Amino acid sequence: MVKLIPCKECSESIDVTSKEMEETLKYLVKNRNIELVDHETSSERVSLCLSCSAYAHGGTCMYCGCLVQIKTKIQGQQCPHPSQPKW
Amino acid sequence: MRNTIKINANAGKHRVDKHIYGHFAEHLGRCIYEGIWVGEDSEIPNTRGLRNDVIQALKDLDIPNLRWPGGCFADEYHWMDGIGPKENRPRMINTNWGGVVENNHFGTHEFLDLCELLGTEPYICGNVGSGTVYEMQQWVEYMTFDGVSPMADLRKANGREKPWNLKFFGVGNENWGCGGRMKAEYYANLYRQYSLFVRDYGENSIYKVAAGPRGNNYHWTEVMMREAGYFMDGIGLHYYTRLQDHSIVIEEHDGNKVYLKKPDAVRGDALDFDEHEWFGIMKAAYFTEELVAKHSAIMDKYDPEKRVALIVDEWGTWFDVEPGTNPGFLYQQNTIRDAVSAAISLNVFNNHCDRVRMANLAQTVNVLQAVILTEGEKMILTPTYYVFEMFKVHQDALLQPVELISSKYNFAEEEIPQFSISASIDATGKLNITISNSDPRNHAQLNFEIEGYEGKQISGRILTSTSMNSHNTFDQPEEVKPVAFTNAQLNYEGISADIPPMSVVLLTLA
Repeated sequence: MVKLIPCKECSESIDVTSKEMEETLKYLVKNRNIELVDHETSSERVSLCLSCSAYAHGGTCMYCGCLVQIKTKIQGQQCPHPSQPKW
Repeated sequence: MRNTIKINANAGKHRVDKHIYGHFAEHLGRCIYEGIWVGEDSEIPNTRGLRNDVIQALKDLDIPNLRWPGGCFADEYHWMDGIGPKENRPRMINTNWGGVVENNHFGTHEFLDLCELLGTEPYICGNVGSGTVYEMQQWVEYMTFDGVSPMADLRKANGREKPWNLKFFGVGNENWGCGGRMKAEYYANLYRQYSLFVRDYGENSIYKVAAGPRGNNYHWTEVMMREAGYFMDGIGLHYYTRLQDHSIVIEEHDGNKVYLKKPDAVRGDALDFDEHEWFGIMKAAYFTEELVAKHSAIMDKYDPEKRVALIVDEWGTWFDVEPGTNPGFLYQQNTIRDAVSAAISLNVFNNHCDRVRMANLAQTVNVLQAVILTEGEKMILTPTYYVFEMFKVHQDALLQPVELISSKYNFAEEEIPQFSISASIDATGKLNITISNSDPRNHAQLNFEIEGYEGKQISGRILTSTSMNSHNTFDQPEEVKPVAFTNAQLNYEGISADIPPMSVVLLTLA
């Protein structure tokens, strides 16, 4: 008899691997026509996010729900901090 | 084909219960935290920690009730963690939703404060999956007992002298799944036990809702009505509008069902989709009609006088999360496709209002088919929000039976009705008709024959777009918004109207 693991259909994890993030970025470039910023800009943005109180769960911005490692790489994005956008 | 609609305005028997237009807020992603609760110290304008913009937007919908704290979250929620000084409240892991840390800053007092600010009825879901009878009994006593008792004294010590009015209480959630993996027969017995201790204190009378089936699990409804129907006021139904069932369903020898995760199921992108996926969602929305009719037929066997309500306390679209957002937060965008599918479902609920007397869209802010999206201090209203805003004319209005002969929307050798319609007469005597056109390409002429109503004036509003994936963004928040509809005329039979493709229309006859 096999062991069944009844599982909620909704049990998505908050953990995202670097490979999954890479695939998401490729998807966004292809399907949403986004453009990426250079490495220096994204690194600068990430360092500012790391010092923010809304940075949570190992890489999520609680103000917008975005994965910081993805949002910071996209041109035209802005920090969603309510009073003082950090970038 | 001529689309013909007959409305007999003398034949109304049942009121469209306003509670059909209810909502659902769970501790999931950014629904509660950031979407509703930002805390007293936030830079975002708030009243006692509850964001003002969201409160006003929900008040504008005349939101009749709000379900909380879940959902699956309710199955592991221990209410005492969410009372008392915030700094003393334990931090816990939200195991159902990604394992995030829950600080319990939004608890019983904050939720009931929200309901009072909104002027809405609370619908609290108790924990049967991992909670005790004693715990549930104490929670109800804490909220509603006006006198001397340990729980009433604790409430007073936490700053609330008078009890709250608690109207709706769910005795468990999805007990066939995340609420305990129970068989219907077992849960029916537990329901009988737990619900006994959900007591009415003083003048507070609690409307008790049993956890209902998932989708087409008719066995669950059969057993619950047979074994526990006498003790409930309503039974839930959970049905999500999506392209594929996200579970493998195993039917056991006794008729019960086990749900396993189907890893390769497709939900689809909320924004980037073709007509195949548009059609799939419309078809899934129309399936609501079959579900409601079949569950109602089972209930009719045991309750022909329709005392027990069917309460669709989780419904709505479910897509892949918006790419680049946390997959555990279930944040999805919302297009005219969501709006038309919501209109189909709401028309079904209206037309079955003799049995369907409450429903809760999942979920209010930032999760699944949200009516509101937030980003920092910004807030936008989704196309689905505007459907609720247009349909609110039906709240507590007298349903008028509609006979509809609809043309078909054909796609890839399948067909569904092009139109769904419901009609009601409100307290001021206006006849309101809501219409959805599921076809993204074709408009059509509708001819209404109206008997028993002398309309002298007609007005209308329409929500539509030229693109299937039109939606509102924080940069363009008013891309999809209702405008005046002028393609309807009074004639000797009633009304003729030319309804554009992929649209939701409200016609008002006065």
